[in-house]
Amino acid sequence: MALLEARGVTKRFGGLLAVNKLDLTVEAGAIVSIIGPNGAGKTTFFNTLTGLYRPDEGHIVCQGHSLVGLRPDQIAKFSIARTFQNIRLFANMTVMENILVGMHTRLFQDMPNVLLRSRKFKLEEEQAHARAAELMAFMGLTGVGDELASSLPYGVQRRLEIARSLAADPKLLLLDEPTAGMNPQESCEAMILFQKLRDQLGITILLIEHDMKVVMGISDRITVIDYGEKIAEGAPHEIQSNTRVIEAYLGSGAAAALTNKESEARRPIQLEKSPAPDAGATLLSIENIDSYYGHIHALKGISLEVKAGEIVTLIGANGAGKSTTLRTISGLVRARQGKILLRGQNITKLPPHDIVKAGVGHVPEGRGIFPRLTVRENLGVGAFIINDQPLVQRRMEYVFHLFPLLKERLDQKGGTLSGGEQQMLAIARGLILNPKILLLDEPSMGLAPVLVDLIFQIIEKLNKEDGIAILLVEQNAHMALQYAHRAYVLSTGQIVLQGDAREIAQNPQVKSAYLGG
Amino acid sequence: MAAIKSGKASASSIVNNFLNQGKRPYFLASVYLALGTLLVYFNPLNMASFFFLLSSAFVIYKLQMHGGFKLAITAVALLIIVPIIGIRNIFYLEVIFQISVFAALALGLNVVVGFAGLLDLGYVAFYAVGAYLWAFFGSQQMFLLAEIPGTAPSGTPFFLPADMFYLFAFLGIVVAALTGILLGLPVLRLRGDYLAVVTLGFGEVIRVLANNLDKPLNITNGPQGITPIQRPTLPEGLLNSLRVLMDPLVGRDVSQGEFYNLFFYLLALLVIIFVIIVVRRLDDSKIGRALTAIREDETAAVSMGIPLTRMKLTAFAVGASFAGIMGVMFAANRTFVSPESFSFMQSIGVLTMVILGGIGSIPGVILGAAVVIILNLQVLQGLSLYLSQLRQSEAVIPIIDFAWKNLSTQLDPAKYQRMLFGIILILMMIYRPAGLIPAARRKRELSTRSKDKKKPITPSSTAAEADHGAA
Ligand SMILES: Nc1ncnc2c1ncn2[C@@H]1O[C@H](COP(=O)(O)OP(=O)(O)OP(=O)(O)O)[C@@H](O)[C@H]1O
Ligand SMILES: [Mg+2]
Repeated sequence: MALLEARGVTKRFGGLLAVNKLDLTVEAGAIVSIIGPNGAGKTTFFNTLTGLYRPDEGHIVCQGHSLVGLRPDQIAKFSIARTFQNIRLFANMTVMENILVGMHTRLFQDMPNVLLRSRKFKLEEEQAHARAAELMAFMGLTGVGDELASSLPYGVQRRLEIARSLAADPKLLLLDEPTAGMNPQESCEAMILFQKLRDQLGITILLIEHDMKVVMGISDRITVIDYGEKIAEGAPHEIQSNTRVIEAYLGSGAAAALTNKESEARRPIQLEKSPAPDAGATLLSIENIDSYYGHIHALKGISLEVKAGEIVTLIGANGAGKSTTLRTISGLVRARQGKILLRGQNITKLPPHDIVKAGVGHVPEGRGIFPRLTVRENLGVGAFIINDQPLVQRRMEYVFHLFPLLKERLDQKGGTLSGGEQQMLAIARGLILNPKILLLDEPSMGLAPVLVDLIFQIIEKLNKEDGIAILLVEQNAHMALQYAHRAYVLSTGQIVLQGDAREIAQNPQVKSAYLGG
Repeated sequence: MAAIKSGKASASSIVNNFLNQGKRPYFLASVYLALGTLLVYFNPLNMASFFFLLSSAFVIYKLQMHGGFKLAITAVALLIIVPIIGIRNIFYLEVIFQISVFAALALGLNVVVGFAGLLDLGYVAFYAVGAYLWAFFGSQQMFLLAEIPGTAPSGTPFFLPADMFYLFAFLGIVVAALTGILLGLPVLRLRGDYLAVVTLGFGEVIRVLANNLDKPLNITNGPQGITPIQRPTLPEGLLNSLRVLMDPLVGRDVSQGEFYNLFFYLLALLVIIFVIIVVRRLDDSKIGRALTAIREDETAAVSMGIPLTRMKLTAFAVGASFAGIMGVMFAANRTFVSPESFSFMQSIGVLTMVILGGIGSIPGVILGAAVVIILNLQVLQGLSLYLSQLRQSEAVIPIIDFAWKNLSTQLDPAKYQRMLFGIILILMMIYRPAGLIPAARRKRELSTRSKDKKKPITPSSTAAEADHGAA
């Protein structure tokens, strides 16, 4: 019997059919993937499975029990655990505590036992802590158990979220884009991990993912949805060659890359890199900055520069300090030492909003959109410092031209947008400022393959046509190096390598560490 | 890993190392406490020496000493020193009693606001429930149901014997917890601001009920309040032997009333200890973790299988129960309750204590209670007194040539409680949002790992990288 069976599941938001008569069967012990364009309804489907939304129609049956109408905490008791697309850790709890909370359904202590500190209680706590330590070791979190979850770099947070969901000893694990924000090396490890979970622990996995290497590599079956409807279903090789899927989701580039493994690593560099316009004029220069998070020394004497009209990329492992560098430039993290100059003007000590006014736009990692404001309002906030209304209008038109989807969603609350839509909104908001330099932190995260190509084309266009300099942080280092003029490689808060992007891409160490071989 | 501290932090760590070398902290703590005791003993009316003595609690808390010694020295301070100096100047005992009562309230509110993140602005209602519970059953009110307030015939007997107080202290816990659950059921679906508004309303409803439930049945005796309320009896034999002990230390005969003060102080202490134990055990359990998880992210918490409503109700009930028992005690201590004691300002006061001390932090919240009570009872009232003395004097403010006696009598610092709370809240939000003693998450990993040595640990290939990440 199938572990999970969904029949005709439908979920509407007002007039929008987010999930439309979806059927899905998950056999015990399988790895099943759901893919589809941004806003196709994948996360919404997960939310109906886990009880966060009640489906408007349809049945969901798990091991003979109907899940429709149950609360999320009741559904969790059926040994169904999940992770979230936008990482939802308990930020102010330690790593260990996060995992212990994940064990909630597995602990039986009740109020009297807790208050009396009975032997039963102590024993259970001891075992729970030991198990948490084991899980931390399993997920490579040993040593950070007492850190607050919020202090971890993004990729590690993802691992913690998976550890937390494993703490519930699930039979069925729902993973919503678990490798977003991981570099190729890490997603490779994640793939191996998922297989291990299935093979060694017998956990059935339902996976949403935009990284085709992962999806095609480990899925037994793939379901493709578009506009809430299933458009294809089958084994990976069937899906890869399905024209409808290629058209709606993969885009020709990614599809070609998948069918012809060779070409992926050596995709022709699409733009001839004409030397940047007035190369030589330094736009942004950072001299020897040191930044801290609390007592953690995150940046240790970083120096770099971006010339007018350049695309510069920062690459490095998770926690190397890439995001911190961007955050320090935009004033969100204060440099304890060193100088940041924008066209010669010292902006090191300026408050963040003045740094924005000076011409630095920042699209932060994890989007940072305002969940309770509508799309229109989010964009409006982005335009807050521009007094020139017609200019704002033109800018708006421009971003709608880039992301037509946003125009359809103008009055939807930011927090209810799909992950990819939020990403588009974040980028759009950064563009409205009409910055001289745009700091982009993982712009392709959570985007469907077609859109990843699109985003990079947009970056190129912004750079070429509008002359906006770009400082880019991207897990997809391969793409980033293709489009960038120059690159810096960061490792544990220091710059270890710098130079022409194409040369860096050829560097054997960089290749093995960040480009996945 | 490069854990380089800032200059400021290292300066304070130098001081710390200096103070905590070898036997030094034991010596320091003892001398500090002894000095404070002597100061207060010989200047019972001097406020500064009283503060000095109170601050020794903080000193003892901060110094690094063996846990057993800390406990012992605290016990000496609380069980021997405070009673003696408290009876020499009964006002001090009153201050410390109030600190204990409000510390318990603040700890209860802390479970709701600090752990579970539910902003409750009507918390004092549960305190009122406890107080009126004993006020009604521990007075003659049961026989006055048909009377108009203020017309109690003389000679009405009490409804219950005085020693039922103890039973009602327990009932106070139960009834307040049930009230918490009843209030919580409809309300806890609301989030954030809405919850705050509804609980604020609830607090006012209870006060208004207390004000108006004198008709058709006279249950609360209206705005006049209920009095007298019985206190539990003190056994004569014990009193007499205590007298033999206390009289020479205090230097005069100790009256029955003073012994009652002492008695309530000890009772409050008992409750506080009980409350602290409960809160600590909760915090360090599945229940406490679930509450904190709810505070951090409801959606994630519920997806982990945490039943939101039940957990929130638990928080409400636990918080309410502390207020309930303290309410019963308050009624007996004062022998009088009236709606005035349960105004919105009281709720805000308790919230101020929590925020000032440190949301979620047990020692912080107790410190918060102490600071607010002292500011309120001593500093503001002391200022009022000082100003009124100045008014009566011939003194003149030099430069602007203003005679103190012309100062408006409206200017009475004792009335500026609200402004004080406001200023405290604003300053804390700006300069120390985590409070005077911020809550710290428990460090657990190392202790668990050392216990767990024998088990093979299989670090995944990314472990090293994770460590970099944290550095
Ligand atoms: N609460 C809501 N109210 C209104 N619309 C919503 C709500 N939640 C989701 N939507 C819309 O439903 C559609 C499906 O969203 P969903 O998050 O399921 O997409 P997705 O397939 O997960 O996309 P992505 O790959 O970008 O994460 C989106 O267009 C989104 O804007
Ligand atoms: Mg999604």
